[in-house]
Order: sequence, then C-alpha cells, then structure tokens
Amino acid sequence: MYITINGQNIELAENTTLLDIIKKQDIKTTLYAVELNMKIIPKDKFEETVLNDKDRIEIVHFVGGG
Amino acid sequence: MERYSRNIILEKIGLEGQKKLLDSKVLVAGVGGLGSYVLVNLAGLGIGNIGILDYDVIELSNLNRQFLYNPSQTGKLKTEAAKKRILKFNPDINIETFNTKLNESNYQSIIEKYDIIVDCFDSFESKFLLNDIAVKTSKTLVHGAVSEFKGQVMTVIPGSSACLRCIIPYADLNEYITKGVVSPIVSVIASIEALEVMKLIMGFDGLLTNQLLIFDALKTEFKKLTAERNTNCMVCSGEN
Ligand SMILES: [Zn+2]
Repeated sequence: MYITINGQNIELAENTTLLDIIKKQDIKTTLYAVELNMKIIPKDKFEETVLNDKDRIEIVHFVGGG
Repeated sequence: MERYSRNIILEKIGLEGQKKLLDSKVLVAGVGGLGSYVLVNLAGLGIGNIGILDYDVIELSNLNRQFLYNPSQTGKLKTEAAKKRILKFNPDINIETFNTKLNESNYQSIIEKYDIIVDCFDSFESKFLLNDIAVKTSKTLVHGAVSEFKGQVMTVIPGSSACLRCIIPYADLNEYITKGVVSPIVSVIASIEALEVMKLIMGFDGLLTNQLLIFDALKTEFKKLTAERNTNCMVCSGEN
C-alpha cells in the first residue's frame, strides 16, 4: 500500500502503525502534532493506529510566538 | 452607540448583540504583537471590559509589528502604553492593567474578573501555563500563536472541547523559538482570535473548538485540523 507523509508518497507493508512511521522521521522538536487525514492523532494513540492505503500524514509544527 | 452603528446594522448583531459585547469581560494575555491587534479589534467591536496582562517594556525591535507603541516610548510598560492608546481610540471602554508575570500563585485574582481569555503570550511555557489555568478556572481560552510566516488558532472550552495538552501532551516548553515574525501574519492570527471572541459572546456557530486552524502565509493555505479531547489528558481529563 501507499501513503503520503509530508507530501511524499511512500510504499508501506500492510499493518504498519503510525508509531512505526513516526519513529522513522527525523523530528527536531517536541512541539508537534501528527495529522492523519486532517485529524490530529494524540501521541498515545500512535501505536494502535494502523495505517491504510492512501492515508495522508503530516507532521504539524506548533508555533509559540506572540 | 453611534460609533457602533456599523456593528448594530448587522442583523446578526443588532442592538441586543451590541449590548452583549459592551457587557462582556475579556482578558488579553500578553500585549506584544498579537495583543496589539487583538486589543484594537476588541475595542472596535465594543468589548466593554478589557484586561491587559503583561510585564514587558517597549523595545525598538517590537515596532515591526506592535503598532500600539511608538519609538519615544521605549522602556515604558506595555500595559500602560496600550491602555492609553486604546482609550484614545475608544474612551468608553473600561480597561484594567496587570503589570505582572502570570504564575501559579497570582492567577486567581486576575482571571476571575473575566469570562474569556485571549492567548497573546509569546512563549510555549506561558501559553501552556495559560491553558492549564484556563482549564482549572473553567474560563474559555482563545489560543493563538505566530512565528515567521505561520500561525495557529484554537478555542478551548474547558470540559467540553480539546485543550492544548490534549494535542501536545509531552513537550519541552523551553524549546528555542525564532524571534522572527512579520506583522501581516500577526494581524491575520490576531484578527481570527478576535473573531472567536465575538462568536463566543454572540453565541454564533463556527467556533474553532476541537479544531486547530493553521495558516501558512507563504502557501496562502488555511488548514482546519480536527482535534479531540484526550480522555487521558493530564490537564483537562477530570473536567466536564
Ligand atoms: Zn486537555
């Protein structure tokens, strides 16, 4: 199956979880949220979230200025 | 009331609505970039009671976006300068200033006077503290933040919609933030925050509750992400 992460198409094995794919990302901040198909998935749900074909994932960086 | 005629002429506001706005009590937490634009918008709407909370003084580097102030005021308290400027624009507003840094022990006496808090703070640490305090005191929070060419807004109704910690439970709140930001992104995000305040007071639909609005100015792209309350949230899970 194929998913899109941060605009890039990648091929994944069936039953890959969100945690599997997030672990492989080089995220340089702790202030981020993960969006799956326009929905924010809490970090403690990454492991139970199994990805499906055509899923779209985006790492959303939280900003903190005023 | 003449000065509000363009508000009142709107069917969805009317005289009744204008009275609601005039009776409302809103705290602007931080009066830097976001706070400057939020204050002007609230004064224009006719929010009758406004609190201004900040401990900072005016610096020249503020003036690329904090248009309430002018170069001759450097070193002066932002709260007092902001109050003066806003009262010139709308003398009928009741403004109270709090020249202090919000913390765990002083928030009660400040927050209790207001129904809605607008997050215009300038650090992750202060923003998350404000979120925690809003949840604890059951005050509605309009969160907004900016950096570089991006911004985000989310409204938190404690006990009913997701709070900031539902979305980002574990974070290093002392993480470095770039100080770079341009005025137009600040005014866009601040205006959306002020609109949320208006919608809350008027009871309009379309609030950014359980929704994180993200704006990327370089792509001219708005994104509305769905968020949910986290039943294990360290801050709001006990509230309902
Ligand atoms: Zn929460």
